[in-house]
Amino acid sequence: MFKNIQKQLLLKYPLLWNTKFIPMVILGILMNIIYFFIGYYDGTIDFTGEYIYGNNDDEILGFGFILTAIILLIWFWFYAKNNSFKAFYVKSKNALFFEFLQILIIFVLFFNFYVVYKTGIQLHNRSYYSYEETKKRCEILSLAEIFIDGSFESTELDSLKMGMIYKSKAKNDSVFEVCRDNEKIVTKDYVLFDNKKYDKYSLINRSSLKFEINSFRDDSLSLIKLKRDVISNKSAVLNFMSSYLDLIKEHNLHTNLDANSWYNAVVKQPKLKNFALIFPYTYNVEKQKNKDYYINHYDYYYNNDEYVVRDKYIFDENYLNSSNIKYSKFYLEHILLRDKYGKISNAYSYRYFRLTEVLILNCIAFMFAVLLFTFRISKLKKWFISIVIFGILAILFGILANVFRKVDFLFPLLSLAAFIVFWVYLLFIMNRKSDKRFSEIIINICIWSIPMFIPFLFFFADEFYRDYIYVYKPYVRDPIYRMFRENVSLMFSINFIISIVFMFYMSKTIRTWKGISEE
Amino acid sequence: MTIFEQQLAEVQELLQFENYLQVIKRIIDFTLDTEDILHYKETIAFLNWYDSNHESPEVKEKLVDLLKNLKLTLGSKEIKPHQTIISINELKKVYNSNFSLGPINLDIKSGEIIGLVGENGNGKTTLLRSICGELHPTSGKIDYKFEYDDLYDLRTKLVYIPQRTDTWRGSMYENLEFTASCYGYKPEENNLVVDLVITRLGLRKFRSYNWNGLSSGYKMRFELARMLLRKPKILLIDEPLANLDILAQQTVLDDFRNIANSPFRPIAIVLSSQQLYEVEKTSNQVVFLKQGVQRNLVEDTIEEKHFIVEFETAETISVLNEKLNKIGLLSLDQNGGTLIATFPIEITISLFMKTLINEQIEVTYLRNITNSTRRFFVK
Repeated sequence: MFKNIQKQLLLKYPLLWNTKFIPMVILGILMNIIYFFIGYYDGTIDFTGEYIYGNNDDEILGFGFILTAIILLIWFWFYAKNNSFKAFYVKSKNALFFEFLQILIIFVLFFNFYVVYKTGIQLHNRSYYSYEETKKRCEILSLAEIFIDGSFESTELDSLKMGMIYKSKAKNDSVFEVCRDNEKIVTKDYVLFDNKKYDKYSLINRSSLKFEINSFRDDSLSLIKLKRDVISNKSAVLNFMSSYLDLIKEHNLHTNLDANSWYNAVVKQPKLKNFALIFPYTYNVEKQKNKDYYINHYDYYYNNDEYVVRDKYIFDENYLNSSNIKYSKFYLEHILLRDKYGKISNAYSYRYFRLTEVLILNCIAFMFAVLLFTFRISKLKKWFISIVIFGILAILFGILANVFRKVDFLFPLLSLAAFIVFWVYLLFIMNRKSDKRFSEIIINICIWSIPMFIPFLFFFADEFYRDYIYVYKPYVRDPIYRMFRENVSLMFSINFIISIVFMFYMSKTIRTWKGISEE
Repeated sequence: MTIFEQQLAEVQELLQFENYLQVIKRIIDFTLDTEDILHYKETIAFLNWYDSNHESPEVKEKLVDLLKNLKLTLGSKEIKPHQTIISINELKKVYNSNFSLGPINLDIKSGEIIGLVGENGNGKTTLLRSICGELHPTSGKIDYKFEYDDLYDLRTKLVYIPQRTDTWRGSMYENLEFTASCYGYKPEENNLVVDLVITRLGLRKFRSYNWNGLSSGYKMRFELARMLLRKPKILLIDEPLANLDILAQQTVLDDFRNIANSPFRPIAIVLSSQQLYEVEKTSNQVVFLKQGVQRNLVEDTIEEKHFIVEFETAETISVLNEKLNKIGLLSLDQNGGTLIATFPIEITISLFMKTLINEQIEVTYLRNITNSTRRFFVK
């Protein structure tokens, strides 16, 4: 099929034939489709599976880049042949730009497999439940935390006690700052809920778990409602627990609780203290030989593939038997649910690829495209000399910037100065139209400078502003300072577009430059 | 009689003598001149048939038919006059500071072949590279008398084939298809034109060969095939005969003459060579370069003219001196195994040969170089 396509291109669109654009685009799309499906497969959520830390990103990225490098090198081997530009074949004024665009598209296609892979994961994660259903289920899981193994909210600072302790030292500083510096923060041992005091280690002060899909506002409103139900509406709490247990059942997870036993274990009226700790960890019947051993206060460390004693902070004297806390005999595979629904929640809440990642990948693609493009327009020897000069200058500027201890300021400044000198020289050669002289080397560096010019200018201006103009004022957010801090991604996005536009004009210049005598 | 009619008559004469190979070459030239896909197809059909019917009695008849059709089309086509396309005035190129070319003055016309001769390192390649735009003149001017948009566009019209050509990977045929496609041949005529061109240059057998599978002589033909597809204003070719055997040299020079002198698509050819005799036979102008300085054969009025012969014999120099003094020998120099005898300009080749016979001097080689750049080499 490729042969047939290539034959047709050879007869109708020789540039497309020469760049092997169509086969490479097909191959690139194929590779992206494969990566999408690998991502989709990796996005499978096994609700009964073990809790797995980390992801496959390193392997996917590593293997992907090796595969991309091999494919692009083979392509380069064929593409490097038969250069009609160097042979002075008739070319339209935009032909070089089209050639550059084709190279760029090929590189972009082959450098974005990671984004496609992540998209595959995200789409599969989302496909399990609708947005609304996920929100609802995550809310149940979030709130259930207070009945299982949730942490406690911090209580208010006891300013009175702290003030008394550090009264003499406070002087001009605030009590809080003095206490903080002396590690003597004192908090109240109770919380107020609906104008009633509860112990700070009571059920009322337990926190829920935040899922990204639910807003803080919704979360806190639901939590307040549930806590009120805990105080006065047993049937509502039982209903809630049943909904949770339905989720456990739906996903074939394990528990030795029903709604009633759970309620009785954790809701201890009226003070809501002395509740049982429900063991929330993965229970795998197949793997676990000794259920009691497993349940009894040990945690599983995935990396070491062994069970070790897990230290847990001591939160209440009432529950302290030894140096370790003790879980009750009850268990729920809550962590599994939390982990799996967390993935679905994240799939709805975040883009799995960030703009920064996409920009980094595409900037690399652009740099490679530009590097290859210069290889096409210049002689091999001159191209290598350009790389060596470029490298030497980068090292030299790096050393100079380090010597003066102003890397962020001097490196972009020196680079920009060098770029300007090279461009002026190139324009001089272009204007003179007699011979190319050193421009066969300089033109490569000028082309490479195109995607670097705006970022260097941006970072130099940023450093210059911070070092020589910006004055720090407490509690004042300087708009220019913020502009530099917050618009790096935007700058790179604009740079990408401007660089392409600049390459359009540059390709015309290169064509004219090529016609100038070599010596 | 127009150039086309003259050339047609030559072909018809060749046909009478059944010199089919030559006739086919000229028919391909005419076919390409038509720039008409129907003629391309007709000639290709004949070539395909001819591949397996070399000995067929129908060959002549078919060729006659082809010629008739071509005559009908080309008879009414406008013949392009040979015009000056490049004027070189006082061109000087100081190269690497220890070599200087020029001053060179030269007018190059379309349809002409100009031979550059001279010893190695005397500026032939420098002059070719200057004309094709690779080298910028230190002083003087090269005036290109045709339209071009910019310097790149100009250089597309000046095809320079160096001694060591660039590597072209992939099959030769595919590369020629690529060239044709780049130069705007329509998809339906691309393969037809490429077939005609490779047959014209004797590459038909090698169509599936890769570039690196071709011998250096055939690589040069491949370059010529590319050049034909590119339709340049001028072909500048460095030492095209260097890697060819004597028969191939004559064939290539013959091809140059026919290609350059096309009535409808004339181009100028400037070639450098050490093969003086062959180049002089083919060229309209010969430029001799000695240490970068130009000496034109026809315009050389600096020196007093003499009758000069180059010959080889077993006789000793003293005997020859004695015998040739009878017709006014001015000098007798030995150049390797060859002798160069100089006489007053009144002496003719007939008189010299009569003397050889009368004096019973046996010669194994003889050449009148009075009007040849050969004399510049031996002086």
